[in-house]
Amino acid sequence: MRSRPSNSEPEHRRTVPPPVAAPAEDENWSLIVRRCLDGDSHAWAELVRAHHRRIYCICYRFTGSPQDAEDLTQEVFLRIYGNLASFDLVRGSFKTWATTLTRNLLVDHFRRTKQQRVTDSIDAGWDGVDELPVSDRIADNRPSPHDRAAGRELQKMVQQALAKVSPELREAVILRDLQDMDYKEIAQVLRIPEGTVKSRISRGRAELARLLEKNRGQVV
Amino acid sequence: MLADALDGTLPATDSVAFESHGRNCVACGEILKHAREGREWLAFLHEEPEVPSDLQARILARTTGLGRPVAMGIPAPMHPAPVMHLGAFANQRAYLNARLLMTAAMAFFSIGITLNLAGVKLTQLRLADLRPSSMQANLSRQFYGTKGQIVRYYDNLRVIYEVEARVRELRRDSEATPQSEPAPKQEKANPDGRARKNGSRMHTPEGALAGPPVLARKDQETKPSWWSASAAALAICKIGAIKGGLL
Repeated sequence: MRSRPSNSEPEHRRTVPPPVAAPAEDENWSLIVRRCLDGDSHAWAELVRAHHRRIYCICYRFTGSPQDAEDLTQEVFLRIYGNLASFDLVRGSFKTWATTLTRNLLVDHFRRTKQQRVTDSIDAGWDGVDELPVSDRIADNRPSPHDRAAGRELQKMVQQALAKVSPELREAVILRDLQDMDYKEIAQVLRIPEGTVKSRISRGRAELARLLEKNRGQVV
Repeated sequence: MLADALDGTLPATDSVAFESHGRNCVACGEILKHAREGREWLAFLHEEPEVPSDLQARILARTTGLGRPVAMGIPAPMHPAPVMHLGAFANQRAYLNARLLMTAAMAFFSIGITLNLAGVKLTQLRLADLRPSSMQANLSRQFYGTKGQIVRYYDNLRVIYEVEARVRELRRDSEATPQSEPAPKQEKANPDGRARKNGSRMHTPEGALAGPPVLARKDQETKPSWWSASAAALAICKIGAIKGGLL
């Protein structure tokens, strides 16, 4: 029976790119932005191609909804497109700047949809129509705990729990644990001190674990 | 310190002290346990979610209007790249905004009406008409012309009302003379002034409150008979003058 992941790092964890962008890469993006401003549509296409997956990933992990993530990603790029002239490499890398715009948009979206979420039941998010019952997901009868299907189910469960973590903790956790940004970059994006960033990340992780433990306790 | 401990970036001495404290302190031990577990749970989300295949094309379509996906390794087209002016998209959206179009239409009509009221005809506009002195003279002419028309209109109305009042007066005079005679007969038919069926109702003698107007009687007494004829003639002359446009 597998109730939580093993302490060892998963295999795909090692394939994540290094957290901090090299200065040369920042310079490169700065040049591409300049080309965009000069009217080069291919530079803009290159910029969209390189960043749209990362932006979509942040939006999806924050909202938990593919439709919302898609709409928000498009909105983010519209905002980037409209404000590209205000990008300044001295104030931070393009990645940090784009992430800041994404985060601001996510906060706006969170405030807009607050009333809608209040009406939802606390446990409504766990009742997936095409999913297995939670007891089946937790008490995994399949031979290997590392089975791919079980991994997908657990992934859904964790994603749903993450969507319930308070937003200021959730954004810090996503940027650190899922986007592998360093504390300095996160502090720039969230405009808070590094110490607060670390505190929020720890609290966010703990809240997520408590939510998952509570849910498991209710079912089992 | 907790985040650094989980990252493994704490110095060796601090790490030992931290672990020791975590084992002895219940509250801190609980937080450390949950934070570690939460980090492990999050490892399940490291896999990138499936991105819609047409997302990139849709972003490009919404921004530059090109809408064709640019994949890695595909060479650039031979023809020169279309020049994209950043901000042009926002401008295009703004101009296409229905609200702006309505505002522009309202401004156009307002200017048109103002020019029309000021007597400015764009087809007959000359450069000399745009001089301040010409514009002032034109406006003064328009103003006094309009004022004159209004004054004439109300003068004509006054004359018409006077004539109508006089005609009514004459008609009343002519009707009052035969009606004043049968009053004693009515008085004779009901001399006590009471109602026949309902004794509680009080009736005044006919002619005490109603009857020919006092002024008419006075006029009849003071003015000679030829006066009525001359007044009617005067009224007819005035009406004729109004119709002829003399007044």
